[in-house]
Amino acid sequence: MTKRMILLVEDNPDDEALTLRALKQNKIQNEVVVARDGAEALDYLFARGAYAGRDLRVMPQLILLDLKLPKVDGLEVLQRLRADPRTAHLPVVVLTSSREGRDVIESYRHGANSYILKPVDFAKFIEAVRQLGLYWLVLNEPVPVPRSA
Amino acid sequence: METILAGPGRKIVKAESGEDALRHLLQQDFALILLDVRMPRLDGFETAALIRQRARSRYTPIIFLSAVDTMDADVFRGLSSGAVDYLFKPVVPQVLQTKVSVFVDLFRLSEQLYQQAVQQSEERFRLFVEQVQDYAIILLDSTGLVQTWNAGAQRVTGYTAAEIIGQSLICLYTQEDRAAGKRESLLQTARTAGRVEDEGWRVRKDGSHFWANVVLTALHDEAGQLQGFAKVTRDLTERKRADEEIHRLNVALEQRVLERTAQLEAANKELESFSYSVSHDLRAPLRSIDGFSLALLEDLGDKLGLQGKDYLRRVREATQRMGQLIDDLLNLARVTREEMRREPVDLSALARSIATDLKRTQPDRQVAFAIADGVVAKGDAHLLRVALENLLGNAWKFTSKQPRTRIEFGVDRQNGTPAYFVRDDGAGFDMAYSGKLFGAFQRLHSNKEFEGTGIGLATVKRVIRRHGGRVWAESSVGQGATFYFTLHLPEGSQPIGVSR
Repeated sequence: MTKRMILLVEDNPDDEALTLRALKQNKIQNEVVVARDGAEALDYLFARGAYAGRDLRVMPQLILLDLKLPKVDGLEVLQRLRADPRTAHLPVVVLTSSREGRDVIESYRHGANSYILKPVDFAKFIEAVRQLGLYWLVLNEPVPVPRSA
Repeated sequence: METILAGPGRKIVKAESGEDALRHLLQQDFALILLDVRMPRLDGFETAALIRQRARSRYTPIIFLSAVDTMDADVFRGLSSGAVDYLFKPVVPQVLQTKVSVFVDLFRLSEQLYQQAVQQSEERFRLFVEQVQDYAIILLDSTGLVQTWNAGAQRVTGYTAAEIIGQSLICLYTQEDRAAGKRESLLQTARTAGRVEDEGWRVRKDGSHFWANVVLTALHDEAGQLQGFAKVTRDLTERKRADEEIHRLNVALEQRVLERTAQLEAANKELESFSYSVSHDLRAPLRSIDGFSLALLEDLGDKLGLQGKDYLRRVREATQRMGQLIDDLLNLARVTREEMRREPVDLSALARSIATDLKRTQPDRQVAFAIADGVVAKGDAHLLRVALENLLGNAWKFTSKQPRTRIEFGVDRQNGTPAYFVRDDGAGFDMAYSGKLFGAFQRLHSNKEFEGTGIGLATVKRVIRRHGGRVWAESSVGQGATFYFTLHLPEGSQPIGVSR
């Protein structure tokens, strides 16, 4: 079985580059698809717009979701994908700079599997990515992929 | 006998026996009673005794008539049973006439005096009622027409007695009350219930309105027949206006409170979204700076040389400090705007858990924590944790230069109020600068000596202030420091600060 891809939803190119670097440093070799806003993430997941015709049987093994996004924000992406049976069980890790209690609560309320704060200290971020990669990509047994889309 | 007694204006009632006499006495008053001593069954003495027992006839004069052969003892008995005189039969007409005339005249005189007294009393009462200024006291007949009108009625309504006696009071009612039949319904209620009270607007002669308190009482005669009504009216316009003014002011005040609350809530919301932006947007560039600096160090470190690496290390340190500053500032803002709870908080347990956390950060340090047991205070558990974290964290920090130190938490009494304290034997500070201690960004030590952002104690102060308490410190350089705080949330008081 080939490694399934990671969907990174991130609008800040610096954070994108740093996250990719952190994944690479932790030897996480899954393909990473990057969506720059919430709308693009939903297009990808449901094979719409620029992603029309995409094979819907291929779903990410993990979604890394920023909360503050242009167009459709992270919480709404979460809400929509939890409402659809095709994506309802995908593991979603909220990756954000917000320490606000209500963001944490709202994320979990909308069905986030994990909430990780992006620390200013990049060394700590690398460690966080290592742990989440270990858990979600190695240890966690995903929900079986449906045979037909 | 009756011919002897007859005279103008006199009425003679003849009783055949003692019982007959008593029956007559029940029906009317007499000027004089002539009583034969010797009668069948009830004799004169017994009859006299019974007459005297009734209040109404207790003082009616009684003359006993008796035969000549009556013993002196009988005379004495007659007099002692309440007779005023004793005559022997056969009666000498002149003597009897004279005596009777005296008593009849006496009776007439006292009747007259009594009537006069009643009249005087009624007159005094009438004058009194007439002259009362503050109350309209009015008598109405059974149909509600005015019979008497006092000065108060004139003062309150503007109508004179001449204008209104014989009229109904419909002129005092407003158009709406007239249409609703208020006058009739009040009279009807007074008729059936005996009394009715009403408060409402009435109209004066000049058309102006007054707020009236009215008590209408039905008056009945002894037979229970409705005779009319007594109506007492007070003009409470002043009080009503004052009440309305108070009400108006209250409404205005409430409105202002609502407006201010809305403003505060808006300001709070703004602060919240500001904090949110700060939390997101200020941190993001710092992550880039730190992340790419580290990437540079890792990927191109060998090409940078020692100095280059040192510069990058400084860049990273500065970003960490800035990150810490942002976090502390956000905490400070959060402490002000977060909703407060009021519950018993186990400060001892809080202090112990914070101490455990601190020891975990530097397990090698030799710090003896002395935490008093059972210190419980009323307040917000989360905010008090923030305050204690800062105070104990400071103690931990400022004792870091000593190999062995002691940090204490406990409670003292200051003027009867519990003063909680955190004491250390660390670096201390010069009391000359104690005024700067609790201001944001104020530091008494350089970053080189002790790291810090200067926000911790400002945060503590806000927490304590929201609890209605006070925070202060005692110290001298090299002698350690003690930070005291009080908490004062009186029962039922609103915690200071805006709640959402």
